Amino acid sequence: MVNHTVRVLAVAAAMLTSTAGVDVTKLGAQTAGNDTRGRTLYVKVGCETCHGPNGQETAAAPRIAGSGRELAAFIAYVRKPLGSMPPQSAQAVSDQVLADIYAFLRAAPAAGGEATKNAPAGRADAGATLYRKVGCYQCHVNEGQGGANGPRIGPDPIPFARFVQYVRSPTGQMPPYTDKVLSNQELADIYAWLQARPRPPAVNTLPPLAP
Amino acid sequence: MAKSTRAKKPLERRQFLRQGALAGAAALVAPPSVAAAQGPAASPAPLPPAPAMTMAAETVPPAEAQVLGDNQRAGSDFMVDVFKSLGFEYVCENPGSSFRGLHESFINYGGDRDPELVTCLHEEAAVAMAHAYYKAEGKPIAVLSHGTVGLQHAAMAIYNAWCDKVPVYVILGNYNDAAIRRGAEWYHGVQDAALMVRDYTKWDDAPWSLTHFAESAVRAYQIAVTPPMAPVVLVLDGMLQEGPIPKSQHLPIPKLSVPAPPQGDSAAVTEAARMLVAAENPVLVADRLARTPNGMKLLVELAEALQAAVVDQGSRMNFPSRHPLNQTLREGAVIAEADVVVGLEVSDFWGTVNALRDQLHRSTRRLAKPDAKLVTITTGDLYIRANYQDFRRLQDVDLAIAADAEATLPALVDAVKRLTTADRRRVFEERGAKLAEASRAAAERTRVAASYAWTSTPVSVARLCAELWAQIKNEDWSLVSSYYSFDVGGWARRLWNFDKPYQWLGHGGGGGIGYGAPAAVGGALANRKHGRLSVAIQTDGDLMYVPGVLWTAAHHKIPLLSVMHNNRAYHMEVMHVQRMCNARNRGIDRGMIGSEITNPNIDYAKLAQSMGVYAEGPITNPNDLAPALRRAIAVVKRGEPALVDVVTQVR
Ligand code: HEC
Ligand code: HEC
Repeated sequence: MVNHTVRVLAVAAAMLTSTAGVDVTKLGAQTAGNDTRGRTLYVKVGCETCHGPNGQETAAAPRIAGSGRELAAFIAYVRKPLGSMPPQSAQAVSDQVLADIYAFLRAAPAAGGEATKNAPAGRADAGATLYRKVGCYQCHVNEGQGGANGPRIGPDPIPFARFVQYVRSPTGQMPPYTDKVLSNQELADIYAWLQARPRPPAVNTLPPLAP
Repeated sequence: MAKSTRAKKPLERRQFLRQGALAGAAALVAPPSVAAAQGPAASPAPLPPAPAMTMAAETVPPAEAQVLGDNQRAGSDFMVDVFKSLGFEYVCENPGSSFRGLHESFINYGGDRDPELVTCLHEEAAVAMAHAYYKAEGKPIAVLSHGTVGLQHAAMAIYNAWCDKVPVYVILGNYNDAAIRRGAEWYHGVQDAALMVRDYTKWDDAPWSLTHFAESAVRAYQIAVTPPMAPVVLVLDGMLQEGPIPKSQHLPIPKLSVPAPPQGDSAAVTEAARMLVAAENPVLVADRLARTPNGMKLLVELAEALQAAVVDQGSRMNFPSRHPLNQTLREGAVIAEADVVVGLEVSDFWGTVNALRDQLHRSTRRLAKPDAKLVTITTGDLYIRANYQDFRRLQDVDLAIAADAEATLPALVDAVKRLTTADRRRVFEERGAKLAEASRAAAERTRVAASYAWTSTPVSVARLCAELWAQIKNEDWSLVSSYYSFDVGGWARRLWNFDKPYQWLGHGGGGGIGYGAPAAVGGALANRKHGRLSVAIQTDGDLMYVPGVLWTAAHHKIPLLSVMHNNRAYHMEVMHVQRMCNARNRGIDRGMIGSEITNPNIDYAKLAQSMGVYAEGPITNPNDLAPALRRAIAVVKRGEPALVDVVTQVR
């Protein structure tokens, strides 16, 4: 199971001069974000309502998992967002809470990042059968593309460690799968198949999708 | 029975015995109690007057003439006069002997015109057709059915209409007088026919005389169409239908006067307007708001006056899908940000501002901010019944206005405009620009989401909806049903440009499957005279409840394009059982047993063809879709139904 603790203190201090409005000097030693705590807080504070359970793209918001922003810039954004995202004041959500959430999101770097390397070798063909057999298709639809009952999970699934964590202990409506009924190796197979899903053609090349 | 000595031939004797028994019974048998029809609280029934036929048999010698005299009317002829006065265009019926008198009157006396009989192969189809017809046309049609076995078939569909607050006018036949019932009339006879649906109808009556009938028929209509609207039931005694009307009897028809719907209290409306104008992030949530085409116009006016976010929960066509203030794709996001949420005829307001987590241990959490101000305007506060639980969880709110929301909107719009200062207007404009950008981005992400699995087989539902949209978008189209292909969050709702009131007819209301197929035909029937291209996304499980409605569409030449979303399962239930499999942790790969519709696969094209409907399929390759749709649309444009069976992915 994943439990990275991201040490952000040094980075935060380095951002001091460039980040308006955030007194990062107040980020004490305890601001080392805790990813496990962050996962719970992420849902509790309501980020998940728009950004989905792991910070992937949704209809309401862009992807924020593995954000390239440094902690201070991340906090600054949440305090004063640019578009329709609602701002969160320090009274409502402390810097510490945001540091934990940041740690959670950072432990899920963009596809191809560090965490993906930990995925055991999976067999995509076995994964195709399993994906159907154990019912992932029911909510995530036949090709992992998602729909009204579950988000898109392929291609570009979230990093394997996060993937396993989500399937074992979902934070939303998804029913959990224990290792008694679905092994890590089987999940790796499903993961490999999801990674191998074809990318769609550019949307503007598909006339029926013209608005 | 002393008179039986007068019998001569066996045939005459049989007739005579019948009439003699009839006369004898009148003195002894109290007909079913009116009090029972009004619920247990009513006082004991007074002895009602004997029905006309029974009295006639008692007081005059047995009639030799067994034929209605020239220029004489039967009771059911008068009933037809009354039904005509109510403006019914159609009567959806499945024939039954308990209304044979009325049936004959509709055909011969009424000329099968206004109303015209629509032959249905199941009472559930008849009611669902009437249900959707109302939503397309804004006018009820009637349903004609047996008081017992017919109503038992119809019950689920009546429940759907009840939950959906739609007036369906149900006419039942029943032979009240036990002394003169023929054989089958005993199984088909009942003391209190409407009892079994009384929990989910608004009013019913079983009139004793034709004068009583006329008042009840008009009253039933008025009650049905007064918000909160609901189905009503009229039980018509067989002998009251069949007997002749004495020439001297004067039978006036009461004038129909439909009550104006209740408008919100003016102080409360001003208070709501004040909250909306002061709000930073107001959200208008509409569910069964738009009763008439004007409802959508009014909501647009209110939203634009405030530059407020709108969420259309989709039980009616409340708001144009591509209006920049339409934030339905980001419902969760706008509810989470809101400082004022106004529910306009929202059936599940609790579920709008809270979420329930469906796990082994269920939990709930509030989605809206704890200090968000909550306002509701709904006729749901005016009428609620005890037994069936369609009223949902109680949400405490800051201001509840018991009124019809559409009728209240003009006053609310006025109050909002009156209270808006120039400063506020600047704030509103900034907000509107942000919302427009957010909905544009959401629509763009949705388009991209629809492009995944574009070429895969079976056909992705997003692809199906996109291909269908490409074929109809330049027509005057109406999506008459997409029941249980996840109506509101479904791909058609997310991708298509809905901007006319008749383009979307909501859903079944009560979640009863078997609504979609007949609703599509009922909606298409309403659209026919307007020359609209009616389109349905037809799920397989739903069609198999009442597939015979395809025959009704063919028989009555109702133009309708049905595109099957055939995922070969009751897919919603597959997901539910999977949840249980996972929660019990003892096997996760058998969840589809009992819910899949495979082995053998059903050939829907053949099914439709067997009933005279043009059909193609099964289509599994998405590239075959567009040409098949074009061919089918050509048939529909000739005035007939057509079906394209598409084997699809799950949702
Ligand atoms: C009401 C919906 C909503 C909620 C709740 C929400 N966000 Fe956002 N978020 C957005 C949207 C929409 C954007 C896109 C830009 C914008 O509108 O600000 C965004 C953008 C962001 C970005 C910048 C993305 C980038 O890389 O440019 C970050 C970081 C972010 N959100 C973090 C959070 C965190 C942390 C939370 C929880 C405290 C949160 N958001 C809650 C809607 C939301
Ligand atoms: C009964 C429906 C259902 C089934 C079955 C299901 N999921 Fe999910 N899944 C969801 C929903 C809904 C979500 C969105 C978050 C939530 O509410 O839990 C989700 C989220 C996810 C996520 C996180 C996606 C993200 O964007 O962060 C992953 C990964 C995932 N599911 C994988 C799987 C896999 C693998 C299977 C099969 C082993 C599976 N799911 C089976 C409903 C389901």
